Amino acid sequence: MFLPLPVFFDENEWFILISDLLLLLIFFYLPRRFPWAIVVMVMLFNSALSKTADYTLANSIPFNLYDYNDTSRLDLFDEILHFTLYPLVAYFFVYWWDVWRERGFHVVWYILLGAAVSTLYEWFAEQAHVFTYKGWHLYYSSCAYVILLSINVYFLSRVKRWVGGPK
Amino acid sequence: MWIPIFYLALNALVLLYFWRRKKTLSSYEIAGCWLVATIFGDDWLTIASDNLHLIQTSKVVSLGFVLSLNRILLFRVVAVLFLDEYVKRQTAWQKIVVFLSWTIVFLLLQLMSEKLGLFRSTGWSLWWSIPLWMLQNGLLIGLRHVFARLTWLAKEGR
Repeated sequence: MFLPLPVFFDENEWFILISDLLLLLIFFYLPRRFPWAIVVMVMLFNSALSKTADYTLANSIPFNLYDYNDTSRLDLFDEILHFTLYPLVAYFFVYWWDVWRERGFHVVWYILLGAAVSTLYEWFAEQAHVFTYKGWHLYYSSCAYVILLSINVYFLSRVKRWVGGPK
Repeated sequence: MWIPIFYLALNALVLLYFWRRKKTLSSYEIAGCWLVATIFGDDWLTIASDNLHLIQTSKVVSLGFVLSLNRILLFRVVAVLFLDEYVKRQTAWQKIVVFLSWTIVFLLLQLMSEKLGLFRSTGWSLWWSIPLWMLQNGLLIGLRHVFARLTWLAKEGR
């Protein structure tokens, strides 16, 4: 099937749907801080980053370190994960970084805090069987989040420069 | 052993050419189109291999690494180079020629990947790749206008 539906509609799908709804509510509730050019680019960047990372670590040779959702194939809820959940989480990360940066919060502490929160969130996701580790550990994720969130902070500053907004 | 080295050199050369080239597209448009091409390419590869079983990627570690490298770099750089070349051209005829000739470039790259064993077809016809790459190129042309519009809106403070 081109894009299969979940095998069982159970806790992993509910976890993704509820998380998505909550994040979308927050997205629409929060005052917009960036122009749409930045919002779109940050989301697109994280969608592509998550797809590349997941495909490389979970699907490709020599790695096959985890599965996500019900099958090892690409299903509908994988796409929801890649196109909405990851980008929204990353958007809030850079959003709050932009707020806290102005209040003098140090970038290192912010990234470490972000990595800790993301790791905790992934732990909940794993409990809900969104991820099934096959050689991957949560510890690796926490290290990966430090790198990915640092890339996001850098990427935000680049995009701001490209669109001519205040740095 | 020579295949990974060949592809490493090819990726490096294409990237170097891209780096040194005087570009018409803005950095924002380049990033946007790169990301769209990444999403398009990754989805196609995953759906074609894992979901539809139309292609089978190599189980050899070095070739798997090359496939990942091509996915992340080579095909994306070529996609952006196509768009930059397309935007540079002034007349409709020139644009059509660029569109068609770069579709052939993508086809040749794909054919080379298959011949060198990065993947093998288990039902996918090379003819199907013509509309596939045309779709990707058309998508990039359309979305480039969206990215240009978004940049303009940002400069207007919206």
